Amino acid sequence: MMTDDSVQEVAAQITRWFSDLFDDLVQLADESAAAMATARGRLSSRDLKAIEPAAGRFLDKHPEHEAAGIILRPGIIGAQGEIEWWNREADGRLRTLPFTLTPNTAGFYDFETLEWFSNVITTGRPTLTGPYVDYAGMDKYIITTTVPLRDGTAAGGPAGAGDIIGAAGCDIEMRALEPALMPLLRRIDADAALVSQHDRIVLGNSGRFLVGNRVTSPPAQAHIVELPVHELGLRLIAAPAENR
Amino acid sequence: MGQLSGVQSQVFRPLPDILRSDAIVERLTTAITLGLLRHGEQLPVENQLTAMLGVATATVRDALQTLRERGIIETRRGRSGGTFVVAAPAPEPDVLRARLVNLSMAELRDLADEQTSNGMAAARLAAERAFAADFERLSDIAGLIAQADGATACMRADFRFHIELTVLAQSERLMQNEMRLLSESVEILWSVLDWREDRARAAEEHLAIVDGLRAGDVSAAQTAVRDHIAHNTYRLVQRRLDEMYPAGAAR
Repeated sequence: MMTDDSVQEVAAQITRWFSDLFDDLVQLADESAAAMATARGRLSSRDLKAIEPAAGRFLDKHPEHEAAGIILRPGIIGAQGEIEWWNREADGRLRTLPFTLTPNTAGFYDFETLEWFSNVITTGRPTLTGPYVDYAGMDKYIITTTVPLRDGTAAGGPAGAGDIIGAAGCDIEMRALEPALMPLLRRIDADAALVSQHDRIVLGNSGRFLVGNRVTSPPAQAHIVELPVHELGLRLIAAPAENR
Repeated sequence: MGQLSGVQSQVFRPLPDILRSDAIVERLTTAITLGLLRHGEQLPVENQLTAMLGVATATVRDALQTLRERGIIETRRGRSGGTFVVAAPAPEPDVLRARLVNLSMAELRDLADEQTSNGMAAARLAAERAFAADFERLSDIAGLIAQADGATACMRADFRFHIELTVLAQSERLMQNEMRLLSESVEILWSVLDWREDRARAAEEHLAIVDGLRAGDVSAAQTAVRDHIAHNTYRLVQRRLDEMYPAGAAR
């Protein structure tokens, strides 16, 4: 039978997994801001390259993640914004991924309107977006997690205190998230699912809860635990197992 | 698609010859297992295969050699010579298990989404385009699986029904999609299902689709398609989870 203990215990472990991830994203943001800061007081595109070691450290610690980096708001450097997004290739080298930031082109990556960017900019809060098919971005089925990136230049004050100039974040493919979290979910002796703030299933432990589907009304006899990770709105839902 | 990102260019890097050869072996084996290439049928000659598959001659030769060693094809010399299908290989449990386990939850769901889309579209067009006699014939084919004697026979009967349903849609593109989708899924499905238990259910679900079509009720036919695929998907997902992530408790 489903016990409250096992659901609570798994909820605590998933909470820890995401908390650790966001701690490392905050570190990526702080290190990136510090690395870009120059005495000149105004960022230029040359300063972006300085974040490579920070992105590399993050990806080394989170090898299951596809890519990580920073995104700058339009007007901080260029008029269309900047995406400095790194991934580690099979040969171990880091490289930046190209994105099309020219409006009115077929592959235009309109990141300003995407939740992982707009929510961080308008609320200043960490955000988890997805699962979603990242058209014109990674072109994969992923989750994106982001935290605010604050101005670290002399004009902006010490790192972590300045204005929000963009976001630091990372992408994980659903294929790669599954082995990280499924063993935990499978410890619950019930049909269980991790769902996002929009009631979308991130991962389910049975054929009943398929990734991407939404759970808009709670199943019968459901046990629901809110995961206290920032204010992401993540929940763990467990309901007595059913067979089909 | 414009410029490829770094990740994408990795996806499209040339396949090593050994992988292409394996892919040809897998494709031909599946086609023979499903009965698309029949016992006694002659394969195209080597340079035709090379052109059709878009690979090097040596790659085709490697693939044919593997199929020959497995006793699936045979090459005869002389005036009436050529390469012929001589045996339908039984799907190997280890190979099918590996194919299932290698699909993530997201990929399994996506495969089901595409099958559902294609099946529902075929049902709508069939309802608009087919004749009463077509539905009678489809109804007979729908029930065949109930008498199928073994997993391989169930798989062939299942394959046949979904192909014949798509035939009624009068669309080559939907047919090509359906062939590809079934080639990817139907062998794995019947390696997971228990044919003694599930053949009756499959027959019922097939007949529900035909009943909807016969009644001119597109929405009933489409719902039956969706439920049929959802049912199969549930079983595939459960098996994969049990294989990959054995549950801690007695589940």
